Amino acid sequence: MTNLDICLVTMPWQALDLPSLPIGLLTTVCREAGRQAPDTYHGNLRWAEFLFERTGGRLAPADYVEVAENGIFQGIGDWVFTGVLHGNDFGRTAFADYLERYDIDPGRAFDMREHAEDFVDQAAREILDNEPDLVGFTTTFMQNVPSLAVAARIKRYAPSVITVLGGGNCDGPMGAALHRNHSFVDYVVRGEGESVFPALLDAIERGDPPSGVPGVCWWRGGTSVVNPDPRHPLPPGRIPSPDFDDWFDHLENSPIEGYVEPKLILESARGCWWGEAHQCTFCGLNGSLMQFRSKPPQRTVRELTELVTRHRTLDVIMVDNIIDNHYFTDVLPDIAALDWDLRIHYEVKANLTPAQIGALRAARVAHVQPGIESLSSEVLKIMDKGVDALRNVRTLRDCESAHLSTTWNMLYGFPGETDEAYWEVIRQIPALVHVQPPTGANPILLERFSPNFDRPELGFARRRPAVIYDHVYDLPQRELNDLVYLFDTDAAGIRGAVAEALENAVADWENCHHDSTLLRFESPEGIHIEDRRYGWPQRDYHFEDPMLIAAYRHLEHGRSARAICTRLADEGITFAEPLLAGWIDELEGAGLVFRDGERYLALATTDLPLRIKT
Amino acid sequence: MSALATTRQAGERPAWDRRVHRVECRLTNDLLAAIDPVALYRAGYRTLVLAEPVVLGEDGEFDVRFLHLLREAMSVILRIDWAAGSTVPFDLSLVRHLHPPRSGPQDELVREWQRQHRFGLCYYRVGPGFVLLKDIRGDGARYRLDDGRAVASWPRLESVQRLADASSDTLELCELLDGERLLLRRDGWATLLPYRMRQWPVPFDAA
Repeated sequence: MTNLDICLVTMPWQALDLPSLPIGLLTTVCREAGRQAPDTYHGNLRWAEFLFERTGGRLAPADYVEVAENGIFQGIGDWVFTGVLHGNDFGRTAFADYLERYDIDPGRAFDMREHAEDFVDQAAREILDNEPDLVGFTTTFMQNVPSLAVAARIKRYAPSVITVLGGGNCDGPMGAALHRNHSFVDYVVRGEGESVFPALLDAIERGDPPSGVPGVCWWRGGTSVVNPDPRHPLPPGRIPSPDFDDWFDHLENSPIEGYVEPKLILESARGCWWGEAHQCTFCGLNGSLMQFRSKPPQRTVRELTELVTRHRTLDVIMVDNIIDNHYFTDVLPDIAALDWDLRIHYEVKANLTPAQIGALRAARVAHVQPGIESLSSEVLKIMDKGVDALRNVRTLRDCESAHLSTTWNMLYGFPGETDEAYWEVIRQIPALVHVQPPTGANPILLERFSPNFDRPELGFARRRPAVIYDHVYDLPQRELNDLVYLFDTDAAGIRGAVAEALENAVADWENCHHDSTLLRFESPEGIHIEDRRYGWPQRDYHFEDPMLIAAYRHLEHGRSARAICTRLADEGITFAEPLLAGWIDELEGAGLVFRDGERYLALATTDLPLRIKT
Repeated sequence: MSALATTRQAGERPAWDRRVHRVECRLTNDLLAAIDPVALYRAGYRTLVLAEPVVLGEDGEFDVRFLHLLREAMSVILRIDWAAGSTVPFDLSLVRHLHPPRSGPQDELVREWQRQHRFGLCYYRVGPGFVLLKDIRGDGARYRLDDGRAVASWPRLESVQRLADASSDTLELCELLDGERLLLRRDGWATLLPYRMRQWPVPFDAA
């Protein structure tokens, strides 16, 4: 067989407002390998369009988004399609029990499920309309069951069409389990597809078994063969530039176009430079490939420029799990110099300096996701996060001053954490209501590829595939052990009253934040702090004494009384430590500083973003 | 903290609080041309107080220049504290994306403007060779302007444009924008109604 005609497919629940990065990358890879650009099938858009048209708008794109954004940890998206794969009644009882037990609102999932069978059939037929030789599905998070359902239907209608699965859900043992349990999947590509996928195509076209293609799962007779993983991650110079033309063309002519504000998705790096040395114990996001690789700065700026220009889109999601520290000086200033009204999202490490935050803001980064995770140094140390509580609070304070939307999560449930650590956090949360709250306080999950998963001695020895998979897959537990990403395990760390108090304190924070400000500004006469936080007396504080002004500036960096005294002495200012400690106690009593052991951080921000209540 | 710092009850604004810039005299066209909200914002001001009531409807150029000031202030989220000193000659559905007056002779209109106003109702973003507009003052619309001549003319309408001096391309753009209620035109003067999005709110996707 020569010149395979290829169709690349992304199924629900890929975000509606973003093109598929894997499809964009593999399109480029095929082109660069001298192949014809593959057809693409944006099954996510087609599903939203199908629901919209079939129900006369009663199932709208917003309903799709609700499942896509909030259904992951309940397996809701997979459940919608599981009846197509495993029979109409499969998973209904288990899902209903699950919803009741955990008091979960499934959104419009039940209504959507009624349409899944017809959509899968339509999708298979539409994909086959162009008579592809090979159909490749990219699958991450809740795309497994929808992808499998369509792959099975394609195989039923056109047995000679080759089916391939790849993507994050296929990493490591998950890909092998997906393959051996689904005979209608001819190949699974594990690991980075850029080098493996073309090599697989070459082998198929030559008529050879892909025995030498790293990471691929294939069938020899009735036996699933699992090739060893690729030995080396893709070098950054070989990470392609994505081609999104098809997606933008599709969206422009879509009946749901008016509901979707398209965004660009770009990657400037893969892996995690922190995780290479100290992987956070709960994090499995980088899968089996932790090695950090970032594109050269000029190339990242060029890609951004080209894609923004080509697609006339100014919202950009940088999909990196962590920004390269060199980018603060080598990339962001160049983006700032463009003077375009961009709106960029970036994930960052939490220990940002004021200069780095300034560079983000100047480059029109509007949203950051720093891995804050906790406001207790004790807990951060347990999770090997590499930052302490003071740095985390400082980042929250400075992001607020810089008008950066800041998304973060407060995690608990780490083995060895103490109630006392959390009572200290809970005590201080009322002083923090003027900075952006976490999206919630949640116990950690046991994720595949995380140290907590790979090293049972860290405290999570007893585990089983998360209960959500009971209503998703009709497979025995021993297979799910290899196939799934999330696991249930014995709870660790805090529980009971302290966990409840933490969740309540965070809920109060969310409720109070919008109307709370604590602003510091200064003039030649002194430092002025205006306290308008919910739950605190509305007061203004004014420091005119040069000694207090100097001490306050040190507190903005987060220091102990002793360290401040030493530094002040170096500056020629004598401030007796007991007197300073007494003043800091007063500041703490007024909620103007955050305490972490012996060190204190001044909490007032220097500017106030425009907040909108949503 | 009584021993170590001065404390005040809320509401006593110290004289050195430089976040508020006051214009004490009555606005004129020359003064309006000289007030630069972007520069004020960069200098640390967050509120511009116009002490004298603003009299609108007497001079088209003045009306357009005043609306230009309101628009530029929205762009950097500089609050404008102003009072209408006359009947407001603008259709509320055209201007409710801009800072409302604190008071004016038309109580009902002032209240409605204050009620309907919020950030992000009508703005534009500049990219390489194109301009994106979002207008949700009414039913909601998004536009992309990418015609080369129109994009080249855009900066003329970001400022206050005397139409007698405008090029044919600019006049053509005026017609286009007027048709979508995105232009204010008075007595031969014109300026854009949407403001440039220079600062995103928190959360970033709320506009």
